[in-house]
Amino acid sequence: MRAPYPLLMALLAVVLLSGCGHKLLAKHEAFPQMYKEKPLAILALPPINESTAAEARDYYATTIAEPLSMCGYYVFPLEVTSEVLAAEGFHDTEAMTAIPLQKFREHFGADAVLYSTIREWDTNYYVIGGNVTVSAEFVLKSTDTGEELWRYDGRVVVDTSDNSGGGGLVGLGIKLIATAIKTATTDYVPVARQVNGIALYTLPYGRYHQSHAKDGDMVVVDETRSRKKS
Amino acid sequence: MKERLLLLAVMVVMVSGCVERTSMYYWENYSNSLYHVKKDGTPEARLEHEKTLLAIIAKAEAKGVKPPPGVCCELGFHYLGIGKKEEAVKYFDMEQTAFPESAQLVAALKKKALAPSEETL
Repeated sequence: MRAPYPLLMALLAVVLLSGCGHKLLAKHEAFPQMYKEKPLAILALPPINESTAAEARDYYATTIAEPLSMCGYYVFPLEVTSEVLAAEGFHDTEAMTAIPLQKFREHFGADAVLYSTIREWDTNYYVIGGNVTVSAEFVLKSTDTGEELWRYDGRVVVDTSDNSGGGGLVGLGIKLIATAIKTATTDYVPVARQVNGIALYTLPYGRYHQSHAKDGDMVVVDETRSRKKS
Repeated sequence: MKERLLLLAVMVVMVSGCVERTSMYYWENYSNSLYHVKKDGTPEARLEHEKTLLAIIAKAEAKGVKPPPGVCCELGFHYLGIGKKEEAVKYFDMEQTAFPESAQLVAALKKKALAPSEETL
């Protein structure tokens, strides 16, 4: 008798892939310009923060370089580029987004600029757990052609329940307090990491990645998250 | 059996995405360490972050891989900010050697580092 795993896994894969019935696209279908231009050096701007979490901008900016680099791109150090831009009079991201794209090529040698917007960063605490809901938009634009190369628009709920507490009533009490504290001060880093992981999953691999130019047929892109909302 | 393996492969790829490949770069404690610089902004946090950046570079050397993009440049920039210009130039050069596409930024930073005036950024 065969184990039920293959069926279970197939089912899980289908669920994961299909989401709620949205149309799925291959990477090259969703982002053809990306495969044409093959950018290497990405300059990520600090995010525009539309959320109520005032600190989200700075903290978020500390987590984006790592996953981008792991996707095979050169990423300019945000700490440096932000300071350089600030020295030129561009202090907030809103001002930076107004800079013409070709300037990033002229002054930094960037092939593409990553713009991000944090729309929502809401912390919820309830009796047996907690979560952080983040919705964000990422847009990668070419400094060469000015065209949009890649986009992700999505909403992620990160569970922040504290699962380390022991059993029993005392344990439950401790757990409740722990969840309250943890959700209230939830470190941005692990939350941001998860959001990045999900968002960058649809990004075609860059030149430093072994799957560069070979991932075009990967069907992973939810159409509704890769197109500009009209 | 074949399908099972294929499915397993699909699952692994889906779960791991592109952020879990550990062999490419070793970022160590970078995000957390920089987070503390942003959050606390204390000289101690900055010193800790300097140590983190040095540890990342040492780890890359030990593993025989490139340091992650931007790390050498960021360390050089930190040294430039505290007046250690020789150290700054050393790490700027290291960035450019590992990643030639950083040449333009590195050139601009080195110009500042080597300028005779005390002017910082």
